[in-house]
Amino acid sequence: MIEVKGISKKYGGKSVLRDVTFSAERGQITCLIGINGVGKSTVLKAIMGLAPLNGGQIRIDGKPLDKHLYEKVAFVPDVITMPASMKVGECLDWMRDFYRSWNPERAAELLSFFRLNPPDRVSSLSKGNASKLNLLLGLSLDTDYLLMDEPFSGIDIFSREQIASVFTSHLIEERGVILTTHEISDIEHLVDKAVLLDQGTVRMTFMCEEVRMNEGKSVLDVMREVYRA
Amino acid sequence: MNRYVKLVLMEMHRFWKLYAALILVTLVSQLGGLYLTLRKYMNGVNGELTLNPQTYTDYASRFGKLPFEIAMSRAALWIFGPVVLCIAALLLYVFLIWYRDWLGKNTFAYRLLMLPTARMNLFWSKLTAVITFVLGLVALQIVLLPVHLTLYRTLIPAALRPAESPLVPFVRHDPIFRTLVPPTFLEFILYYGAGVLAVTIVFTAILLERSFRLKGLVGGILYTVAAAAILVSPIILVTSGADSLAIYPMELFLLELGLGVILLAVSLGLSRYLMNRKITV
Repeated sequence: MIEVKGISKKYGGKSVLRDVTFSAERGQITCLIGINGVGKSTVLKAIMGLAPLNGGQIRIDGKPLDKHLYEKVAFVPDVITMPASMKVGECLDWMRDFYRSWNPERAAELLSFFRLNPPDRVSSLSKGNASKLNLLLGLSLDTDYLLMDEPFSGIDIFSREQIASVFTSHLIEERGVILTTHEISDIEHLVDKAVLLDQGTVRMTFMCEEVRMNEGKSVLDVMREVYRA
Repeated sequence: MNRYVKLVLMEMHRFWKLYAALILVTLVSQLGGLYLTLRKYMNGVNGELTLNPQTYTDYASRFGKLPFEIAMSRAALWIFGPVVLCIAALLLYVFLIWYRDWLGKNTFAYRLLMLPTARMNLFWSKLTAVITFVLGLVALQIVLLPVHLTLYRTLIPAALRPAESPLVPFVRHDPIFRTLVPPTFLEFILYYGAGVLAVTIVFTAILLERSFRLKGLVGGILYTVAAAAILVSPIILVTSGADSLAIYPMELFLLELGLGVILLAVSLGLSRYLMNRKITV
């Protein structure tokens, strides 16, 4: 389980996260929802040790983040994380060189599924293909947890469908997933737990299925209630 | 292969094209420039001998011979131009080696900082790459010197050359080559130690900037200036003749060595803290 306990973060005196607390379990898809600039990406970066915190703590299976946990948690940011001069095939080789948890069979499977060409340079990839490469690099690690920052942002409808299909496949099963989005409609049916963020604080956390069954509300309905309140 | 070595190889691979270009420019400029300079000299000599028929020995007795160091100084622009270019390129590379991972559309820093290895390995690998590139270019220069001498001996007739044209006195007297190839082990430690220390201090300043952005930039500049002031102040005090610091040269060397070691330890400690706790993407 990834536990985020009372974390706070300031950028240049401005508070972007205040006492944010939630947890994400294995086998569940947890979605951090909120409009742009509420601190969703910062939470993911903080979990990965890429943004130092001003307070609070983060535990992964009860332990603070250390170098070994990078074999256990994969992060798919919304930026291209490989040098522009590298070829797609070289990116895969590079990951295999550095990660023990790299799964070459899965990488080959995803390469074919996403129709990426190993000789293509990273600099020549479209936004959609760059997102797919990012996802491939994250999913091909045999990790217990996967964090994804806006995986559907700014990509075409076909790429979006292709990426969405990953969430219902064996590639995600058994893993704990935390993803962020500001457009819940496309993936609402995939999400187990929703964490609504607003101005750096958690406004509400709920299990989507429970709310659907007990109150007959969609995630979007709950969002309207919370954000318009 | 451990991840540190893999990171070093990766850094080298990322710079090899530019590095190869620097080597090529050095080879072409130095060999071509020296060849043209020597040809020009010989054209002048042969022109004089055409007007006033005499032997090379007669010419040498009238106008003097062309020692190797004079030939090199006549080709100074061709010889030292690429040296200055290489130094400038490597100075720029000290910054580029960090900032290329952060700036631009592709933020490789994400991937590097999430590697399952100690983050200081990134620091060590970049430092190792810079040192290797510097030593590689110095080695190239050392290899090229005998080639220059051979070219000189090939193009200039024996009668126009001094009996001996040894390399060692030339290297010892030329200010740039004396720094690149120090004649004593102590000087080697002093020059190259100062170089490694300077790169480490600049790396720390870059990490301060990458951790705290604008405040870090100011902090990094102040840190660099303070470190330079600490290192230079004993030399200034001694050379200014201040009574408070009347010490022998060897004592000054040991004092500088001690200050250097302390600054190196502080820089490495601070860098380690920033890499593990403060750096941000």
